[in-house]
Amino acid sequence: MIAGVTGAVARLCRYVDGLVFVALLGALAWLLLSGNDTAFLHPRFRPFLVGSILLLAAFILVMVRGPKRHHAGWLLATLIVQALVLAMPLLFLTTVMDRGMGAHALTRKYTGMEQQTLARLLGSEKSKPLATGRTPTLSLLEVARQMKQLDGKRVITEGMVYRPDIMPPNYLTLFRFAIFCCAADALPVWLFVENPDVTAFDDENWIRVDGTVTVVHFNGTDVPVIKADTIEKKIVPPTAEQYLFF
Amino acid sequence: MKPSVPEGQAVCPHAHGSLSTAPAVRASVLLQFAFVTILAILIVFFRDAPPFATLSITFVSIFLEALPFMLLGAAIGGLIEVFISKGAILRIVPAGRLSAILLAAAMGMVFPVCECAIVPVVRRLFGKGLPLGAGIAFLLGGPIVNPLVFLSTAVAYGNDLTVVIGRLAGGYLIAVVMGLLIDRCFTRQSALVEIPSALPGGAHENFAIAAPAGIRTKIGWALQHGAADFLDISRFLVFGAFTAGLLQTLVARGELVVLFGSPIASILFMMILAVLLSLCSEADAFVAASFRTTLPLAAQMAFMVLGPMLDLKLIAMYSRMFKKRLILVLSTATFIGVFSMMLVILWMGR
Repeated sequence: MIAGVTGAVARLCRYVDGLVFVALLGALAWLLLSGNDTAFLHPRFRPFLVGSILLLAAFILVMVRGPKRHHAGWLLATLIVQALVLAMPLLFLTTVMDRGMGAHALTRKYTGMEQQTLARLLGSEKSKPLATGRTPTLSLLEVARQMKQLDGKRVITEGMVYRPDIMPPNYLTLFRFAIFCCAADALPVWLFVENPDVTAFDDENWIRVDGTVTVVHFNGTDVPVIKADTIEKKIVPPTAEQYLFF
Repeated sequence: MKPSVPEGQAVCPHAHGSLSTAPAVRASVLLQFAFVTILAILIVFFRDAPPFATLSITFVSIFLEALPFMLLGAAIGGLIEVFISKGAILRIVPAGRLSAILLAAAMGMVFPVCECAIVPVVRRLFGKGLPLGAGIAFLLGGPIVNPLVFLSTAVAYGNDLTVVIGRLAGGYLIAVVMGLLIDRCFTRQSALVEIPSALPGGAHENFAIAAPAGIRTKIGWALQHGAADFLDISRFLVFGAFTAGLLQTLVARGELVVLFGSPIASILFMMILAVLLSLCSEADAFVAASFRTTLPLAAQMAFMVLGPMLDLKLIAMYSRMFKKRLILVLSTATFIGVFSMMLVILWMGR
């Protein structure tokens, strides 16, 4: 019995490298098919992910058809630990399939100068003309891009709440993250919301704000403030839809 | 204890070296088991904590972003191993040491690769006899002096050509200087580790070039080499990506900006940040640009020049190619070189 199990483990270990490639291929295919790749990467990475899947498939093919290893002892341990290390990102992936970056990430990535950077980065891009007659619904990136033009105008926008203790009682920070390549390089996009009822919302609540934009000077930079007429709590969007891309 | 191969199976004759059971290998296995155990403990006990989500997302993102380029680099490395002979490399690379380094540092313009893809490629090129200095120049210069980085930096800095050209020129200069320095201070024997082949077999490398084999067989060998290289190097990407994620989770950028207030300290801050964040060279300009109004240009440039040459994931991956002493000298000299260059830029800006 024990000999049989040991033999089965030994046979399995011959394919341990191939199993790593299969796991990576499966994870990438799942990310692409479910659309969850945008919870980590900019959509422009999709062709690269497809290319990765093809290369992994080719690697699996040559490993299946090629010679097999017959290792034991420390050599076998080397192969197994190598496979375990490579499995770690996939294991961590399973822990954040339903969670995006939130207030904690904001406190790590915030420098205070994001508005100017985004306004400059996005300033040259053609923005959609504001609809006349009804209040336009704009992303936080659009608000950052058109901050000056929106001064005094009414907009609807949405994002997550952050209210540190040092904030005045009738203000909250509305934020999301904008990705250029991957979530590691994400820039926080934020503005202030002024309303007497902001205390009703907790950190990381998703809200929809309808109000008038005012540009104020804050810590040496221009920042939009929305004087909100209404703030509605909204359902948390799927992780893949929580980020903005530029 | 050597890996054995069943009789009758085709073995790529390029395979050389074999896995060893030296004490260093045992220590490496134990360290990797410790790493895996720590990560498993983090998942079990801290997975619901908010900082864990930041760590996890950052770690996975860096890994996923680098993965396609690592795979591509490994596959190209495999093709180089099987299809390019040592003689071909010697014919392509100029005979003069300086001219070889000058050319190699600019090779990214025709062969645009990011820092993750370039490691397996250069590793295989070294195996084919690429001169040490030229390899270092390509390794450091390739991820900066290339058209994709030119474009992304231009977008991030609103087509400010001073910044774009300054970055590429700075990267080229540092790559050339480091190529010359390493070429002078090290020999191939003192610099390079033996490339361990994860392939079974153990035949000597070059006779296969002469051995008759069809194109399909050779592509199969190239993919075997690519797969083996990927497995060998990518675990160091995992170490680097995790460390970078951990530091992005623990260190607040805004607080560091306040801490490093003076212009010289801000250059140091951005260099340390570049090493810690381990961003792709095609995305780092956007993070650098977010400091445009708070830090001097020299500090932003330091971030963009050093990052593609030296960061946590790269240092980890370099260990599969270089001996420790070379990594130490290369890292220190690159750091000092970039810092000195940025002091000059700072001085010129006054």
